[in-house]
Amino acid sequence: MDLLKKIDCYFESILKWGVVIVFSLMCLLSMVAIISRWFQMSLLWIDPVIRHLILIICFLGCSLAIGENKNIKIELLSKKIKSKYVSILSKLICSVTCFILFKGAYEFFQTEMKYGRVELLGLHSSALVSIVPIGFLFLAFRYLTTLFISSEESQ
Amino acid sequence: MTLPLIITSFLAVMGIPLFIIISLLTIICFHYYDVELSAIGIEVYRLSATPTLMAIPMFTFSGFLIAASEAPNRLFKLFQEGLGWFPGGIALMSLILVSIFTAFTGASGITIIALGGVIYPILIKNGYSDEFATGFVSTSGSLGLLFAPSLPLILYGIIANVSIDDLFLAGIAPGILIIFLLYLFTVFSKNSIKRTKFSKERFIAACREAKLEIPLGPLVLGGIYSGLFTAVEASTISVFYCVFVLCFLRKDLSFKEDIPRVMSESMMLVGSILIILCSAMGLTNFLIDEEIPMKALAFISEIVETKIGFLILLNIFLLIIGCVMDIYSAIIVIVPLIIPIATKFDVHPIHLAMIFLTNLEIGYLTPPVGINLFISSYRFNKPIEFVYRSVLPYLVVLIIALLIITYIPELSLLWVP
Repeated sequence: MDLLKKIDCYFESILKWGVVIVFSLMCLLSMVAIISRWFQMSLLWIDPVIRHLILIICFLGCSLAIGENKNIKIELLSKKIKSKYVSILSKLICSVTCFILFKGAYEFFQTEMKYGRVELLGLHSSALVSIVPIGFLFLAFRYLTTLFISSEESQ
Repeated sequence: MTLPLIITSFLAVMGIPLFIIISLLTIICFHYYDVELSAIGIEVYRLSATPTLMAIPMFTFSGFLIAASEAPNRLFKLFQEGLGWFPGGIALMSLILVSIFTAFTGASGITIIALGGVIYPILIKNGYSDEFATGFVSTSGSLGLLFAPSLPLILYGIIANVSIDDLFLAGIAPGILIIFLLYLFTVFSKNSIKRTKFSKERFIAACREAKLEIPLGPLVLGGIYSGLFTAVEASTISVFYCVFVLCFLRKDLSFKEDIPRVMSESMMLVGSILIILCSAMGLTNFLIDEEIPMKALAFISEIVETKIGFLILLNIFLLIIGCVMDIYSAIIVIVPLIIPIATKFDVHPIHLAMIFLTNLEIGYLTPPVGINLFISSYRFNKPIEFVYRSVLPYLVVLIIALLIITYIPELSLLWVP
């Protein structure tokens, strides 16, 4: 239990620092893009890099929100029915769904490995696409750890 | 398909995150129609091809920075000194301030939490009743959604493929109309309202105090409207301006401690919104491939034949959606489905955006599940039934504004080129 909480805690701080680094990089790059435009220079690679960083931010931010239970949801009944079993079941559904999404995204990644080409900054398209399966794996892992922690706590 | 729909709807009301619900529905649909699961990955990855997406994290971060600093208090003081002497001046300045604040923070309830605590006691002190003040601060949470650079406006532009700059221009007149009608309501309500005397010295002092916050709005909006930079570039400039002013000039926030904290807090919201966008991309494209909007259009055409009839139906539908669905999810899921139908009924896409967002703005306040009601009840420690009662007159005013926005399209298209 303690080990699981420790792992979750480490994972959370990795996510937090990940968000800070990726977002800061995004801000700097976008400022560079604006300034370069003022000087009639065009750095074409910046825009796609920023858009991929946003995709990373999306998964990192969502993983953080899972830990804080802050994901957007409709709370019509959940506030009235506060059962530990409902909470465990919902986390189980979430983690299974994220694993299925990971599987789908991984299939896409494998296809890109086979048929993709070198795209951005010399990176193969499969490396860029890998953000999606890794992201879903992060979400599934986060749901799984919160599931184990809450089921241990309920016992 | 009926059983999976019932099950997922049940799971949704049980509080399972919306992106999981949408993903589950997508997985079931793909399985049912023999679509490869890898299509989900492809659809999610398509998000990286959206050029205007960057404005979402940037403006959210700026909004969170402002909320975490002392800037709201300084701006409040400025508006109080500037408009406090006016009939209903306190209410007017509160309406303007919360609108600006919500436009930057994206109606995520932050306005009620950050500014409500400042505005509520001032309203009470100035002679407004408890019920009036509670209704006022609850309403303030979503006011300003139509003003640039509001997050729902940007998201709508991305989803509907409408120019964000045009949406920013379109929101001005309907947004002012809503503020004006609410202001009239505050003036003609039966409260005994105190008015403060205008003091030139105090006003100048308040201006001096807020001198670094005042340029932010003109810088961002002026830059966009003058064509100096795009909405996306404006979002970057707002981030740098806020960090520079609030950390280095004002020293409200510590660069080392507060900036990482605010970054992770704001990106939680961004992640929650974007993951819904990711998960909905597969589902909405699947629904469009299956010609669901066309089937819905055929069904609606049987019920209504005129544009006015369609707009009435649209308003009723969106008000119900606004009650049960968060604004971001509603934009992502509903907009792609209603656009073809609205086009068929000759509704201008920009006008549709204003109708859509005004409906959802009202949805934040509509009992029993409007999120602002719960935030207000929690923030001000009031029974939820009291909050329900307090917002009813405001709801009437907002519905009048909605009707005007819906049936006078010129209002939304006033400044659109």
